[in-house]
Amino acid sequence: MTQPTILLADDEPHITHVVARKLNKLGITTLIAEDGEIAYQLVVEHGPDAIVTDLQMPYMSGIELAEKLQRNAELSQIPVILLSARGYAVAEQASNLPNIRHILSKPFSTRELVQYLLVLIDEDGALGLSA
Amino acid sequence: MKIQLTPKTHPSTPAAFLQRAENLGLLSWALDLNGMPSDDPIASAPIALWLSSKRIRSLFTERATLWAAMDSFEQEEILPGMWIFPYIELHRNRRTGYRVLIGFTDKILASEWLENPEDPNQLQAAALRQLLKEHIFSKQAHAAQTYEMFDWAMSDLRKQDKFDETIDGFSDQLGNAYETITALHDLGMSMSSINDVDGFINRTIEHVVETLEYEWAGCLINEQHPIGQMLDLSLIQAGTQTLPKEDINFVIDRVLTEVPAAFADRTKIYSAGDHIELLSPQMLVHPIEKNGESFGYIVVGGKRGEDPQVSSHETKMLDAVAGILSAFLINAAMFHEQHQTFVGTVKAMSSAIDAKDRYTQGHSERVAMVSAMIAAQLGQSEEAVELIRISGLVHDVGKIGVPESVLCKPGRLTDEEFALIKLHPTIGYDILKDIPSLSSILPGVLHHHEKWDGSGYPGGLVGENIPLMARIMAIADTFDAMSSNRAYRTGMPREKVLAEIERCAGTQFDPDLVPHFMALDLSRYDEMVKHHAAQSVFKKSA
Repeated sequence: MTQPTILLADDEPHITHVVARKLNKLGITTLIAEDGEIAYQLVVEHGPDAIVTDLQMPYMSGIELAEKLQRNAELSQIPVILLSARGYAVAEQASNLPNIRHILSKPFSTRELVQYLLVLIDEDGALGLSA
Repeated sequence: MKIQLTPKTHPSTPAAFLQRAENLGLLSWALDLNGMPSDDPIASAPIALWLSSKRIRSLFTERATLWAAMDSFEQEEILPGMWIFPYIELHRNRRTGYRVLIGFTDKILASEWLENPEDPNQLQAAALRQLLKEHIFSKQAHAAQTYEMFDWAMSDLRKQDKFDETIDGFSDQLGNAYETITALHDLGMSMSSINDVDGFINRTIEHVVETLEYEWAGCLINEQHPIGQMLDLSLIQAGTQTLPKEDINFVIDRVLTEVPAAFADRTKIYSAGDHIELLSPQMLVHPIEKNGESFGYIVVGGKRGEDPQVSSHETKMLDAVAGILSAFLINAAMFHEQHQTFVGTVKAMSSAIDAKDRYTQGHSERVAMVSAMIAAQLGQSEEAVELIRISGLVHDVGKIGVPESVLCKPGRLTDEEFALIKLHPTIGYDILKDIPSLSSILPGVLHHHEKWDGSGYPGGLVGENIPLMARIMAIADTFDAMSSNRAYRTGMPREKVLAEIERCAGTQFDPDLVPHFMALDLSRYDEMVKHHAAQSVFKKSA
């Protein structure tokens, strides 16, 4: 079994650091992107099992990233969790994008985020992560 | 399959440093305190074999004897053209061995140390020279400066490792603190749902399990304590398993008699002996108190996560959670007691009214029941149904102000007498209007004799101007009045009563409500009638 990989995209390094640390402790590999462009490149190169992205990032926002992924049949299957300081304001835009599976308002509970991720990357239950 | 945690090691030589040194052609070798290799040298096989030869190894064991007394080392040209850069390996500030970087200058290629006396053609030496060419990191003349640069890199990387560790520590602490705040915030927000005591306790201990990363948490309230009695509480638990109550009681007993509280907090930690098989070697027990006296305990066991030790982060969170639980339970118990007093008072009032007229024995209770049934049939909320029940109980309280001679008069009433009877809704309203907790039921009391067509009293209200509560009670009141024996007549049979109510839909009663009443199963009503009749017989004979 290959280790699950999760891409974390946020221009605030402390956010990605805290989340990555928690995921790494669970044996999950993390990729870190500081902006939307890099995030998209990493998705294309590595095909992660799930993506956690901030809304506001340089070059490409989290919504734009999700839109771009949604247009690609293969990449549109990767579930996305959107982080936002204004979750309520993006709910409508995000509702048109089926790949955005959750929206969490910052500050968010890392534990909650990790729980969502474990369910998303293990939807068929094969990894036994979300038990 | 569960993903296993990768154990984290803290080597004092940063991995990044070794990687960089290797990129520059240096070899690295881990030695123990005696200078004996604790690992194979990181080098290609022929070089590794050569380094591991007795001749070369003895050079290192000799050095180790000297290093034992030294705190810092200089680089040393251990053989012509072979430089070693030794670093102390530390674990928790104790020296555990050495990490030696080995670098070659061009001078090594001419060294006779490469030659093996047992190999007449020196083929091995030729092969070694070929390999070592790729490891020359510096000209002999620059070896010292190059080492200097290594040293900077080493100390910088060590510092960076320390910083990384610090940031990781901060991240963890911050993460924990945020989870705790989130949990306490959620508990604070749900404290107002005072009616769902079990739900709140569940929520609390689930937060403990999730946030503190434990397998199991339970809340045991002393059933003998007034709070436990009032709220009918015992053991509520959350987590991956269910524990027998005796085990929890055992742990609490032991903890209370044997274990001193941990320093500066009230959490007690029970370490399981042979007495009992517990889910984890350590169980935490924290009291839930009222005025310094405990009436329950939060018990937690089965620590998850990397650190098996109980930390003060956990005991502090337990302290906060126990405080919130205590405040909630004390409040809930007070609320329940108040509600019971309230309901008891209302019941006493309705019994007092019914006692005035033995013919109407139990009338208020029956009107309360039928009104509540209609409201429930309409799909009204639990609270609304409860309100209408209370309104039914006290709807005739104004009859206290009507002379008994009129109330119990057999036969027809004069106009003057009927005028007195018609005062009772207003009198009832006046009696109750100053009780704040009854304000929402006043419309039912005041208007239960209004009629849909406006011919009722006291207001002569028409249609939907009559409060819904009163429209419902009007049906229940008339139904029970027609069904029961009165001073001036005996009760009517059921079919006749129902036909009458249906006939009066749209004149006396709200035509939309009547079908809801007709749909009721009246067996509970009939049981209550029998019950009241039995009480009445008992009273007469007593």
